Parts: sequence; C-alpha cells; structure tokens
Amino acid sequence: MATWDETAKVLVEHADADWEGIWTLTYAAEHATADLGVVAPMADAVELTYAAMDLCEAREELEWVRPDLPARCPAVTVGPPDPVDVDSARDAIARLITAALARSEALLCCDLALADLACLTRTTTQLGSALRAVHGTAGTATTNRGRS
Amino acid sequence: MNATYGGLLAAAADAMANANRAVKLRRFDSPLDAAQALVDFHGLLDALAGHTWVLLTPEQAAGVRASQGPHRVEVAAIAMAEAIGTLTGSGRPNAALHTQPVTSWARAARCLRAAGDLLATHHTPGHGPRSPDADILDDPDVRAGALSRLGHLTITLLDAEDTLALRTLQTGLHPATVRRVLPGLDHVADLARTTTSHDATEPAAPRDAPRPPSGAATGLVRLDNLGLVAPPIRTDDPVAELTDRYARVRLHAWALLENPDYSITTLRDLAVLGVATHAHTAALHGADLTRPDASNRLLKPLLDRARAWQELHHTLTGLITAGPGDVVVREDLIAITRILQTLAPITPTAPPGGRAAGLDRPLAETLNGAIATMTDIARWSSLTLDRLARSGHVHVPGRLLTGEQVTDRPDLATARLTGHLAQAPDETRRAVTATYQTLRNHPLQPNPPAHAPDAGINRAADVRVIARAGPYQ
Repeated sequence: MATWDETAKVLVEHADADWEGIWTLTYAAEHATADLGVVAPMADAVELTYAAMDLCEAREELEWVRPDLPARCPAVTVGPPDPVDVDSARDAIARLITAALARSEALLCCDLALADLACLTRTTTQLGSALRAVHGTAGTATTNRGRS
Repeated sequence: MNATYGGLLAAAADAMANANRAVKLRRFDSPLDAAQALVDFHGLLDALAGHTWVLLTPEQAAGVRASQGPHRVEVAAIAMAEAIGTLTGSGRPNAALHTQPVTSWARAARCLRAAGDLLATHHTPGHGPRSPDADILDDPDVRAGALSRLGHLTITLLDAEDTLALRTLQTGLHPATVRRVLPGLDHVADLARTTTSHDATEPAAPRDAPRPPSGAATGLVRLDNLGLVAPPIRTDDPVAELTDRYARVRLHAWALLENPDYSITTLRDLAVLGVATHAHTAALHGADLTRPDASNRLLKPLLDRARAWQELHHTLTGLITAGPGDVVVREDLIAITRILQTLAPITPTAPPGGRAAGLDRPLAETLNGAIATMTDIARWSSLTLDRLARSGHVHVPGRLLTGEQVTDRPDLATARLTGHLAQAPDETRRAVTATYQTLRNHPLQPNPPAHAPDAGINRAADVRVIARAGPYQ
C-alpha cells in the first residue's frame, strides 16, 4: 500500500494548475486531515480539527462559484491514516496544501471575474490558515487567524 | 459586569435595608425629604406588586384563581399584589417614577423593576420564548420560591411603616396625609408572610449524608444566574469574554430550532467548538493530551466527548446544505479557541517534575459551564439536523455514495452515476443522530438507559423542545 507521502506526491505532480486541481488537492488534504485527527493524540487532534474546518471552508468556497467541481473533479483520498508516524502524515498534508496554495496564487494572477477573484482570495486565506495549523506545534497554532 | 437577576434582587434588598436603617436612626431634615420618602416607599410597594405580575403572568394568575387546588404561595402572592395595588392605585407610571431616585427605597424599586425587565427580555411580547431559559418560571416550585423571596422583601419593607409614619409626622406633614399614605398595612404583611411559607429545600437528610440539591433550589440558582438574553460581550477580561461568548453561541444554537439557517456549516462549527471545549477543559484539569494512552480515569469522559465531537465533525463534513454558516457562531468560535489556547493550553507549560500552577477556579467554573452548554447544544443540534434532513435540505455528493447505499434506490443510483447531489441516506442521518445522542447527556452524570426507544432520539425531551421552539419555518 502506498504511503501518504507517495500518494501526495502523485497528486501534487498530476493536479492541474486550475480550479479543478485546487479542488482535488484541497479535497484530499481535507480528508487526510480529518482522518489523521481521528487517530492522532488529542493534542494533535484539536489542531487538525481546526485545519480540517479551514480546508472544508476552502473547498466550499470553490464550490460556491464552481458548483460543478464535485461532479467533474476526481475526489481522491490518500488512504487510511497511519497513527504511528503523525509527523510524516502532517508533512504529506502540508505538501498537498502547499500545492493547492501555489495553484491558487498562480490563478489569482490570471484574468478573473470579481466573483472568482473574491472566491480565490478567501480560499487562499483558508488554505494558509490550514497550513499554519498543520505545521504548528500542537496547541499553539493560529487556526483561521487569517480571517479574523 | 453584566447584571443578573439574582444580583439585581440582592441590590434591591441591600438598598431596602439601608433605607429602613436610615429612617430608624435619624429624623428627616425637612418636610420635603419626608414627602419624598413617602412617595418612594409607595413606589417600592408598587414595584413589589409589579414584580409579582412578572413572576406570575395574568394567564397563570387566572389559572390559580380558577383552580380547585391552587398553590397557597401563589394565592397569597396574588392577594398581596392586589392589596398593594388597591393602595398604590393603577395610574401609570407610578408617581415615584417621575423623578430620579433619591432615597434608597427608590433605588431598591429601580433594581426590582430592572430585574423584571431582565426577565422580560427572555420572552416575546406574546410571551413566547426568546431564549432557552425562558421556561425557568414554568416550574411551579421555582415560581413559588421566587414569589416567596418577594414576600420576604415585602415584609422587610413593611417593617419600616410605623417608623416612617413617626418620622414624617415629626417633620410636620399633615396627619391625614400620612394616614392616607400609610393606613396600616398589617393585612398586606400577613399575606406576605403566607407567601414566604414556601420552602425550596428537601426534608432534612441524615447527618453527614450528602444531599443533592432539590429541583426547586437548582431552578432558583438558575434563575439567579439569569442575565440579559443578549448581553454585550465583555472583552476586558478573558474569562468573562469566554462566558459571554459561550452564552451567545448557546442562544444561537437554540435559535436554529425556530429559525434554521439551512446550514451544515453552523453545525460543523459547533462540533469544532465541542472538540476544543472538552479537550481544553481536560487539559486545564491536568490531562496530558500529547500521549494517546495517557487518559486519566477521571478525565476520560471529557476526552471521549472530544473524540465524539470530532467524529461528528468528520461525518458532517460529508454533508451539504444550501445556506451559509452563522457568522456570529464562527466569530465566537475563533475568539473562544484563541482564548482557550492562551488560558488552558493543551501542551503542558510546567516543566517536567516542576510545580504546576494552581487551578484557576474562575476559569474552571466557566469551562465546567461550557461543558453543560455543549451538552445543550448537542441536543438542539441533533434536532436541527434531524428536521433539516427530514425536510430534504441535507444532501451528499452522488459520487461518494457506496454501492450498498444506492441498491434499490434509483434516485441515489442516478446521483451516483451523474455525480449530482442526492439526499442524505437514512443511515447517514441515523449515524449522526446516534453520535449526537451520546453527547446529549452531561459527561459527569449517569449514562442514560442502554436501550433507547429509537436510534438516538429522546422523544419526550424532543417534544418539549420542539413545542417551545414553535412551528418549523
């Protein structure tokens, strides 16, 4: 069975630099974060729950302006979590979020309608917040602070 | 500091005692002062009668009058209020309200009227509920206890009647005026004494035996702690801010029953709040959350709760509704998690083997209250989601449906093939409801019976909540 890191690498490599790619990466990161939170120690689980909340928000922002994304995009997950190695799982999630962020920031520089621009702005903020939560030391990360 | 009903009542009692003492110890400086005291004495009597009608609605009073076996405290309270009303008249506003309060009796009256106004904020003009605490006075024992305290206040005030009459006559006020205002109120005092005959405590337990508080006593404590229905958020003190924000989240979660926002986002935010609340409370009490197997036996119920809320959040993530989330709940969630990370960090801050700081009792009280709040929120969220699902507002992405789920369901099979949204399958709804069911009882109270009447549904409690929340909009 492929590890999370391997699956994440494949996803990052093959996801397009467009709305669909951002959605796929965000979806995978969201589910990985939530799955890892269930098996991780509570100190990590709280932070991961915050991150999952932010990623869910980011995905819903995308679906708000592109309602067809869930039907068109591959909904890929990285598989069941391995509770033994929480740190490498965090790294895999961070890799997915970083890739989604990079695509989102690249898309921001394209010719966009105002609704799309606003959506991408919020999505990028949420992804950044989730990345901080995933990277942060347990109990000290700043969940969703980008919007407050 | 935000006012509470108990605080206002205590302030009224203090002011009344001060005024009684002053009139007993010294003469009035002038007839004008004496006249003002008479007016304020009447104003306070009027406020006491008025507060009786706050505790006892006209409909309830009519029921008491028509009842074959009415509660004697309520009968006495009605008679007391009517007797005072005969004396003070029905003119509104009362003459004492025309000026700023000068005497302590006037200040007591103002506190009492403010307490009545505070209770009124929990009801609509039609006496419908505006908060989950609106039903506090529906309990006859709690109502009788509150009326009994009003009787005590009335007795205390009337104790000063003779002294006040003497002092006013000493200033030269016309005896007929004094007699008209203070005609001898012994009959009112007798009714007040009957009103005070209610005892909210249970019969004495054997010595040294621990005795749980009675329902009426618990209800009176809840009544005393009642604040405004939507108090301002105090941001000058983090513990006070936590209290206020939890109260506001509780109110919004309750309001979803009557005014649903058709949003799974709000329910998800509440689930995240459940995770944070239980985890940080466990951390405050010394749980080491960094090790998966380090669960303290006493704190295990809290950690189990945190896991259940987390599981709930996980499940809710797969559901879709049309409405956006409640921005107030989100704002409070962010603020609460930020405060919790500062005041009750999950990672231990004391050095290993070092001396841990003492328990912050105000914070511990607030978080214990938050646990109870989350229990209420679980109950209401369960009903909210159940009603949304039953009315067809909760969906799942068709591609996530399993083969087993779409079997014998052409609509779900179509959604599975086309990738469109489908209504949430019944088993998903039941799974969510079952998780909520485990969260609907306080973690430090006995578990409910193992065999529930139906998966995750406490029908008796739900009927009461739904009846209070009104029809589905």
